[in-house]
Amino acid sequence: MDRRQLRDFDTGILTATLLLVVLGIVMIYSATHGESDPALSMLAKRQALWAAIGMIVMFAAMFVSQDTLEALSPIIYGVILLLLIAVLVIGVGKTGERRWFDVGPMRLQPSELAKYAVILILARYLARRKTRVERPIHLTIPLLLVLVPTGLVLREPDLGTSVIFLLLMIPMLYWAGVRPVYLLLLATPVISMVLAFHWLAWTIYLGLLGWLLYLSRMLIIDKLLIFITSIVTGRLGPFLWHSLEDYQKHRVIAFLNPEKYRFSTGYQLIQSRIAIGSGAALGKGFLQGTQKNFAFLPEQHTDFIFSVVAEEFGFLGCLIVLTLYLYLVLRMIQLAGQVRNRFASLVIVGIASTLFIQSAINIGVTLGLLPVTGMPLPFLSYGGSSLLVTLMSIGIVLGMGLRRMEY
Amino acid sequence: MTPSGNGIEALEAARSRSRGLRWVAVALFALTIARLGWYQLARGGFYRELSEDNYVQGFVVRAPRGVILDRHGTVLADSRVSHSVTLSRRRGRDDVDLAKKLALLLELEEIEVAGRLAEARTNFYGSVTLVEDATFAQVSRIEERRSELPGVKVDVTAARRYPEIRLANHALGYVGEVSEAELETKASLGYRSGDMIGKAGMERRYEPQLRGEDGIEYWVYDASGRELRPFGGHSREAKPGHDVILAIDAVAQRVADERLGEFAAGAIVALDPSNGDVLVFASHPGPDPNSLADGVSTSEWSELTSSPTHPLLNRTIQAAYPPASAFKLVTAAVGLETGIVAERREHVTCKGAYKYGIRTFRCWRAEGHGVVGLLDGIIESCDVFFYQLGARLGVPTLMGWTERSGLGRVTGVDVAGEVPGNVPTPRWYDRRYGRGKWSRGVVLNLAIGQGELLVTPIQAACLTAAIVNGGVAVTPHLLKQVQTRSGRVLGTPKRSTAYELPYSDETIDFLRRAMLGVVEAPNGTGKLARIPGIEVGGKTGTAQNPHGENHAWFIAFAPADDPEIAIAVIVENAGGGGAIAAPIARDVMKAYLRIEDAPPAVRPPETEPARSELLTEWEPPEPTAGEASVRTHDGHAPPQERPSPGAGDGDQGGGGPAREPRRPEAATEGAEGDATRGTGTQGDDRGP
Repeated sequence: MDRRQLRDFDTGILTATLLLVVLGIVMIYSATHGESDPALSMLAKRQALWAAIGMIVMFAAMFVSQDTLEALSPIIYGVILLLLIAVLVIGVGKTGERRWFDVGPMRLQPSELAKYAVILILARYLARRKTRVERPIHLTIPLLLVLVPTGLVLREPDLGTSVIFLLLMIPMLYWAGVRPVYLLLLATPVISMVLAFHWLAWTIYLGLLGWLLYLSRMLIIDKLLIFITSIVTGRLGPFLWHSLEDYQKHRVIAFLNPEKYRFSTGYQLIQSRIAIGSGAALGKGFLQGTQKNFAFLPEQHTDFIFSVVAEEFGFLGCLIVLTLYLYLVLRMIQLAGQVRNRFASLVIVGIASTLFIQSAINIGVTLGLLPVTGMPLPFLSYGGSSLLVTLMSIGIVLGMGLRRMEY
Repeated sequence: MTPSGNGIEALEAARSRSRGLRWVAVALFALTIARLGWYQLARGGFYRELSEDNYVQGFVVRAPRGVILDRHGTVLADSRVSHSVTLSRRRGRDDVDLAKKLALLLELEEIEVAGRLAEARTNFYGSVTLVEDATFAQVSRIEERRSELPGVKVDVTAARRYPEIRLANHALGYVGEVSEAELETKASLGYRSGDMIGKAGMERRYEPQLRGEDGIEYWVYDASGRELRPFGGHSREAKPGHDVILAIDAVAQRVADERLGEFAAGAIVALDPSNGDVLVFASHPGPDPNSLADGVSTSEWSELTSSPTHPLLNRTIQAAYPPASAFKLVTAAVGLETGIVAERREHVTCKGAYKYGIRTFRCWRAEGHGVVGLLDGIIESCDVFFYQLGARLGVPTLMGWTERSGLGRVTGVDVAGEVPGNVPTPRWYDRRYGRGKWSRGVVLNLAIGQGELLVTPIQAACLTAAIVNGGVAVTPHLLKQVQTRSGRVLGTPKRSTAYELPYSDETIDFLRRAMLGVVEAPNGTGKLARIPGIEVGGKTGTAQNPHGENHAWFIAFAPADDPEIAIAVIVENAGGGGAIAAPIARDVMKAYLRIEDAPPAVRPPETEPARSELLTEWEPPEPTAGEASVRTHDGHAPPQERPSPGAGDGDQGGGGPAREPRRPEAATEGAEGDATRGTGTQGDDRGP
């Protein structure tokens, strides 16, 4: 690393990251403030410790060259797939879920790392010189690369994380040059699967799809492919559904509609809404929040941390925090446009997308815009492993920024 | 970065993509800000007030559980109003004082109350139930002093009630508080500690339909705990559970339960042959579902599980018995199908015993039946005829056809825990005793339904139904339909075929005629099943039981021309099938067909001299002409009604090998003591 590279160091990304990490520790301190339970009052200190470790990891990640990452990505992907399979067999989790391994005092959650494995392998595939993305059929391999881990995570079951896999693929494909229309086509088999439960809706849908395809200027073979995929998934959907046991069906329904079955979530949402609203323009002030008593909001320090920010710092505070996130994401997209190495560019877009999607889902849940999924807010939510991998990914981005002139 | 190609164009494309992504991010950011602005700027004052002076508390509104009805609308299970005293988490620390007060008011031990109070602090839901199903006195005392008792509340809940406690209790099952294990596996369905859940029978099978959906109400309270107003937006009304209508006919079921109640143990299954409706589903003894629903103590539970009569065993589907002479129908059908016998060709002279190798197998009637053909063999249940038929068929043929006749596998009835019984094929014997280590002579026993062959009452009923339904066994089902409280039908069970008898139409017709002969012919062993005015078909069976009295079997159908009911009755340790089981079957069928009681038309059995003397004194009024006339189906001149011993209770199928020591006993595997419950343990897995 020479001095010219150091000039390319992205201080903006680093600053925003540091601000968010510090804010996270402060908010966790506030959320657990006044709790008599010693296990809870320890959390802010522990998060600070994790942040320190995370900084070291971030710094170390900066020195990993993009060529090494590119070369290693198939191995990383393979190992992660094995871990995802292993966690289904010997993993542990809340009531019936299998999400993590217990490694001594730590929890290893493979799906947390799997996001980055998917980004790396997708970037590697899309960056190859011979990879083509002009036709819908070219999407088959990237789709398979994403769908395999998605399916495994869905089995855990962890709907939230598997949705992230699917969502982060879209900006990456777009960045690689796939036409936006084709990205919309990715949704057609999914829609078909859902509508297949009602024969009339399904027939109308297939008719509409066929008509649109007929009008389009795609190759006839591509049109057929898209149409047949829709028919196959449409036939498969109800079949798979009926092959499920009753309790499995209920589990799926409960996942898609958590408020239907969980009273605690409805209560949480009300408390969250009161907390956010009562923050008003300027907030009640640091440590002055009244809703954050654990009796009112059990997930205050993890999934609902944003409502503490909103209560204590009000609209203004939220605006600042949200702007920090937006700045990070916009800065990364800009960087991705400057980086000369195609693989690195795609990885940065993938990491930016992950950061953005996770924050958007978490805040959307807190504001009652999305169903409760149990997604942490990057940087702010309590959770060591989440913070660690997020900081590692920032380190990768910073490292690629340093090497932006390398091909 | 340029995805493909070079030059200015590619650069321009990359720039536009970068712009595209950034626009999406900014748009979503703006949306979030707008929503925040609405809550914090526009409605901020409202929420600020809510957060400072008041608090919102949610209450679960329990959904009423669906009602279970019989086919004519008789209520089999419903709910009654019940009150429970609950305590929710409080901020204060006046536990000792409160425990004292509550113990006094509720007439409970102070230690117990203190324990529950401590639980309310740590318990995840923040509340505990102090008294389930509280008495009126308890409720009124609490209500009077509510102001002194912070956090204590009287909830109106519903308790399950079974209006006729002994009616079909094995079919209905019962409900109970959801267990820790169930909470683990059903967490995603929203079961909370303290909820009721179906534990057995229909209550368990149709739990998702019956349960309904609990609602929730949010109320705004002021700092002193006064209800101010409902907090809108998130409240949800409770949706009552759906009603489940069973195919059971309460009238016939009641008769079945009463008649079985006269004995120690037994089971009755009746089906509508044409559609598989389970009309009667009785197993005796059974637990009182009301007491199970109210919760049983550990000692009560161990009493239930260790009782020698196994009250928790659902004998209709979980107990398998040797079918005894009832099985002669299958043996005869196999003989006809394989061409080994013909209805009019084969005649055997029964002298009361049959020699096979060096062993002698006895007929239940020591003096013999004389010359018998296939039809008489069934009507009089002659063992010797079937010994020789069995010997000619051999184990592989007889058991192979038996398997294809629907035995040895579950019928698929919609009650959990059905056992398949046992069809001992040569492979089974090889596995059990070793290749070649078993005698071919077992076929003689099998031919008369003894030995290791085991059949559940529902299998017997299903087979009977198949015989009168042209060979098609419709899968039996207790469910008739599920409907909403307002009566909209949501679903009916799909009609499916359990199996088809691999018999020709002629064979099936023969079986029908033979069964009619068993009841209607003067020399039939099932005469006690006669019903004045209609023709009844049946077959007796008396299962040998080395540990006590024989088990009485009777399978039957009525009326002959268009059977509306097919029934199987088994009474454990009660005696002969013709004497004991046949009249029970008759009573149940009469009840189902709504035939008013007329005095018995046929002389009762004469096995017990004292009783028969008494009864012969009493001359029954002459039955109607048609009924009394003797039906013969085979051209034999009917011998005059013989007052011989066992005219009624017939077939001591137990003839069997004269003194052949019983084998280590397939029949006794598992359930100790009771030979006939061989496979009973297969299903006896209901733990507390």
